[in-house]
Amino acid sequence: MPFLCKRCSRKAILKRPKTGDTLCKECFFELFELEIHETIICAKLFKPGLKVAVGASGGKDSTVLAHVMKVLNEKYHYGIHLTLLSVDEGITGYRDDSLETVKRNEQQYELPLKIVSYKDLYGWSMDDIVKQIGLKNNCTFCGVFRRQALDRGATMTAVDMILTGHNADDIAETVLMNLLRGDIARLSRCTAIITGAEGSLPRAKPLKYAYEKEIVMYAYFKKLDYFSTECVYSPNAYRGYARTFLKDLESIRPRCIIDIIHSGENFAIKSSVKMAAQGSCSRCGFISSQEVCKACILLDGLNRGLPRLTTGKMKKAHRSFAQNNKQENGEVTSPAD
Amino acid sequence: MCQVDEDGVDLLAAGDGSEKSLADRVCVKCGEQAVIHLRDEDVKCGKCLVASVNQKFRAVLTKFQLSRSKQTILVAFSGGQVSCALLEAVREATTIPNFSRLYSVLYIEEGICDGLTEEACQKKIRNIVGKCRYIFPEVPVLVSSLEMVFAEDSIPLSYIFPANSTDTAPLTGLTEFGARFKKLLASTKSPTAREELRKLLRNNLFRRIGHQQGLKTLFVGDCADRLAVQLITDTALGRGKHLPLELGYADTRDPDFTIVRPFKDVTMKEILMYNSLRLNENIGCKRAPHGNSTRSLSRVVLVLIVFGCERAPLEGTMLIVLFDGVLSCFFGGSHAEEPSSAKKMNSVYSFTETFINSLQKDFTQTVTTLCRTGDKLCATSTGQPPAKHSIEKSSGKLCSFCCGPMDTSEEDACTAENSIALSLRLSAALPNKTVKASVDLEDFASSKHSECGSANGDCAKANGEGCCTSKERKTPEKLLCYSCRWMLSEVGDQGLLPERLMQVNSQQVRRAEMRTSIQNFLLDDDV
Repeated sequence: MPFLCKRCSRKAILKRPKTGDTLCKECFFELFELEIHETIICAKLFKPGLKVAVGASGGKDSTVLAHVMKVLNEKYHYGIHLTLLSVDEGITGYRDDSLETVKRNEQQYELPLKIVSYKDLYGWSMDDIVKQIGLKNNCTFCGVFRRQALDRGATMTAVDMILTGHNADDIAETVLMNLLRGDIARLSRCTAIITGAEGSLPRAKPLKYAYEKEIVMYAYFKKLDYFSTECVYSPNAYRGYARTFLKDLESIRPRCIIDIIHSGENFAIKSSVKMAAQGSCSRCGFISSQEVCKACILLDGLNRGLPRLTTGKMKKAHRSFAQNNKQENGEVTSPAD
Repeated sequence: MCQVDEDGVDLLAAGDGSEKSLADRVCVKCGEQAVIHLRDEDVKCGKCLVASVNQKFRAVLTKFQLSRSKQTILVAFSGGQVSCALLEAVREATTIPNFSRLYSVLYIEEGICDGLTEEACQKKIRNIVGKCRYIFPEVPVLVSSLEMVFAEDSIPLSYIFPANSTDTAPLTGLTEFGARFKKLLASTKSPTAREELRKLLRNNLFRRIGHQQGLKTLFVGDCADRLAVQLITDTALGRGKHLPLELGYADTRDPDFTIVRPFKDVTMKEILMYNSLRLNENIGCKRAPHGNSTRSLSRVVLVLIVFGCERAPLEGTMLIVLFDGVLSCFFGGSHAEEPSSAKKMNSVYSFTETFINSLQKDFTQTVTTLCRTGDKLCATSTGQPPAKHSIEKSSGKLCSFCCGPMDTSEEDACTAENSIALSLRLSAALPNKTVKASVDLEDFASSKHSECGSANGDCAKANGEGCCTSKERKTPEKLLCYSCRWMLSEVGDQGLLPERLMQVNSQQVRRAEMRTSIQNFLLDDDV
């Protein structure tokens, strides 16, 4: 017997992971979009006239985000100006292909696209960095640089807010990761829908309550053009454990994802716990919880030919950076001995 | 690790490179030959390890000013490794003048959850009492069983004093309550909910026995490894706000009855070594600690003797381990702790346990880091003074099932709770065919509706099969925390829950409603 859509009684084609309802394509789209709209309204994310950049990687999350934002902006008249913002890390065989997808999205959604590259911003592409440091710790560089690259790109295009495609699974996974790593500062802010210290660009996650599975379903049935390949450089092994665990939990209890986020939103952190306050880097002016941001420290290590020093203990890295700064009076130098 | 199965033996026998280094190392405290590597540079000899575990135990007594109080303390005993170590530490403390005080062991028989017959339960009780006697001969033992939570008035208890034989008086009402308990478990949909329900009822029983006996403190054998698993499990079940109560030294949610965890900072590895050094007979524990401790235990001359299995398949198995000259016997038995049943099921707890154990193998700091993180998340671990507690409960600030702080979010806030509530509301509204084609979901989402999706919280009227079909089902939810609400929704027949629990609930609902109606005339929020 064919399953019928719980809402309109037409032939159902999917079972919604969040609630288990059988739905047809159209009803699923409507529900999915409506829930994201409700999240946006609840969190009071936008004001009319706001310039908003969607961080677009070409992957499923950001493609769905760009699509849904365009649809909702027209449907509910948010009055925001959407653009796409991409970061080119310079990874041959991965980012070059996914950027092609983003460029197609630019045409399909008629949204202006800005691409910023590591090579232009820092003088190093990820391919260069991997050549220098190998496949260990390369994700540290990529992650730190990407965060700042988005900020830099947003400043260049003069937008007021960046949207990222983090979904509910990503947030739940981050809560677990921060628990396992004992990172209280991140634990306290990772569930917030809008992040960013005062004075810096706010970032928002409109998909934070959308299950990854539903995002894939949406992209699949909408036949969205997206790119799905793992990065050619090694994935983060430790995060892999948390991801597998979360998938296992989801298989026996789909609610776990939302429940973990609920826990994350309700953690009571002891007031005596010291937490680094977010400020801005004294060197580049972008967001940092230390006097000098991690991106500057890493870049300094790369330029001096001592990248390993900067991926180890932060104290050591800062000391080395300060020493070098004194010697060279703040100028980037050739490899030190 | 003393997992008495083939895997366990393999693990015990497996050697690795760390053995040699341990043989060459000396205790950081006294310079004697080290027997255990705890972490980094922390290697200890047997004597110093035992002293440190005893010291940690006494430090908790001092912390909670329990060493001076004259009142008897209950010690929960399950027969597992941690329980045995706890009882041994208790016995040890009583030999020191300043810490000498009265203790009673409390054993709750939970065989009903594992489908044991009454006869098997009685046999198990005798076995457990025997173990208590072996470790601490002078201690009186109180025995009850989990299904006694259905008793309306006083909880039937068996008292076994040292002079008595270990034969217990059969507990009355076992069959009647047992049948109801089995029905309740069977009507509960998922293994995770069953486990949560069991934990809730056990804690409820602990509290009621404490009140009945006029005792205020209960020691439980929760060690660091278990608390690390509990941290992740609670997070996965949406109990983030309850972590201070679930992980701290003391669970003070009932101001008249505190549950203390004296072994909060002791790892399973230390406990296994402590037991093998202090107790000749180690009682089989099914829960496996992380692999690392196994490797340290593997520095043994291993003798494995399997005796004839005349009883239950595992019960007759005995593992004799010669560990640096100390002979230890590991009895495999059916008297293991709760996870014995949890293991078989695909529950959140068992998944988490497997995950943490495997992670600990590769990243040896996992448990300690999780425990430290847990400590930082314990902002509200101080107990509420009694008066305030009861007010908070009646005014709906505490969950009336688990007594943890309420974590309900504001109606229009952007939270996970509201987001899932919206999804469920929309889901409930979907099949409404009274409106010609379908409900306008948009209007529906933006208007204020009850939890179930009906406009006035009474969807039964609308279509006859909504989630609010009975009043009983609707009312308690207002007074339950996020996670307990979910648990209740998993219980198929809520009429099977203990009346006492539900009565308290309806009383609280009435009081909360009364309070709301006179709210504007109250001069003080805390009245």
